[in-house]
Amino acid sequence: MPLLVPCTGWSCALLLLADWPLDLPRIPLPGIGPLREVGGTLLVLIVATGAFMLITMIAGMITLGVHAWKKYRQRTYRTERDEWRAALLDILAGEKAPDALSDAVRSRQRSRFLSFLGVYATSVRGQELDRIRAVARPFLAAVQEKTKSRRSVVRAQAVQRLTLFGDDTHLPALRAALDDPAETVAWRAMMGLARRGPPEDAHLVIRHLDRFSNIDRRQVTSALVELGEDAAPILRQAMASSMSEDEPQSAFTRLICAEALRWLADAASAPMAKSLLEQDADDPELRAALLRLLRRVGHARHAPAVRAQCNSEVPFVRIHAARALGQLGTAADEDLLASLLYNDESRWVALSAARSLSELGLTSPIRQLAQSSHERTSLAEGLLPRSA
Amino acid sequence: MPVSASPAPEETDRLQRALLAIEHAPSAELLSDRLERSGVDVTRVSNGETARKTMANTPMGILVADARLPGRTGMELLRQLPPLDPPIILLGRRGNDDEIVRAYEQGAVGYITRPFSPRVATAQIRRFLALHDAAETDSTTW
Repeated sequence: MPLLVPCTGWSCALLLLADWPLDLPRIPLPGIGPLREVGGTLLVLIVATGAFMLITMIAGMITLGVHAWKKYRQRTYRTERDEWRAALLDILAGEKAPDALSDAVRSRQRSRFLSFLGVYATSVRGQELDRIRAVARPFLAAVQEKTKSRRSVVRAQAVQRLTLFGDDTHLPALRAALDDPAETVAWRAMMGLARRGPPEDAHLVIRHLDRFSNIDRRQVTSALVELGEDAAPILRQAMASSMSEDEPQSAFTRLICAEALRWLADAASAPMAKSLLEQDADDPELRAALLRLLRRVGHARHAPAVRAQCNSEVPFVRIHAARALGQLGTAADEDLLASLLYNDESRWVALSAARSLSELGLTSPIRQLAQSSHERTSLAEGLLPRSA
Repeated sequence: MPVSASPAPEETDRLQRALLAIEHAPSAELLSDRLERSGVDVTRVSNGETARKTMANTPMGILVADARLPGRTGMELLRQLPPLDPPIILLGRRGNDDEIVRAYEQGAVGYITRPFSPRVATAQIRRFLALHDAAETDSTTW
């Protein structure tokens, strides 16, 4: 039925074009007028309908063509991946040489092949990862060329692939990419160097950290932790760098280094964190990071610096100081923590103090609070065991 | 006099059967390929609920489950399945020490961190299959 209307329209258009309507008798139509008078409008409508139909048919054919092409491509890619997967599993099992697969890949398949390999390379380590890298090796020269592409997305992908499949010979390309104008490229280069570079590259990575201050701090810290324990002395040096005149670092860089040292559980950084808290850590976020670090790796001898921060003007510094005392404090801290629990203007500081009291086994201030008519009674009740 | 009885044939089959409940397809492929090459009969699922149903229908010698499996997580499976029946190894990401400790506390016999070495993981799984096999054989000796 939908086709009937345009078909009729086309027939009428042909009749009109054949000049036949010129000989039509004038048929008076009430309210509309003679047919000849509406002929022009009708002609326009018919031509428009026809054109619309034509466009619809062409669009439909294109859609069907694209759909068929996509189906064909999906099928081809699936077959391709199945063949690669079978060969790759044989290579990983040591039953085939790596070049048995890389030789079978044509240049137009290169990018797809490296994407395919990448999924496996991120899943394995050890001998299997070495074998996957051997499979990818013949394509790395072309990948390195792509780090000079005009498109940042291509450069970023190339840097990521060099990180995943490359070796020491590709480190200069990663180092150069740290200065790439595109942040995504520099970020991937930073992660690559942290993961694959020698510990000495930590200096270079740290120098570029400020560029990533808008990225989630946990991600930046996580990338820095990839440098490993061997880079801890360099991280410590950067954390304390405001004390040295050679290479002062921003508060952000020092904070990230403190966080990374905490993640690495670097016990050697505790004395430095203590002296930084006592001397020059002006930035509240840096102070909070140093307190978190001390909570993880500090000892009772570092507690004086932590106690001092319980009087900080900044609530979140007091929160972390109170929490750190739960690990580093002693029974002598009962009054200080109880005072925070009862009197601190921030309920979060009070909660931290209560948790630390609980960790230290000093539960009497919490019990007393729970039995009182103080406004924080419910906070104390929530922390006490049900049987108490 | 003690009489030694071999496990029934279906029991022997069970002990060489592993269920891989892993959502990450490449990890599942790598592990299952290695296990199959070493003679273990592998069933693969990608959902915790399907894993539980498969276990109910087909006895398995070992279950390797993603710690973060959709449907039911590996941790939930640990809590819901009878202890060591079968032994459960969890597969999770590196650096999540709290989760690893929790997994062992709840009865996991192993925890494989990603990225992993399929060779080492296969050796680990096969070792547990052998231990389970020995334990089952002991339990049928009277």
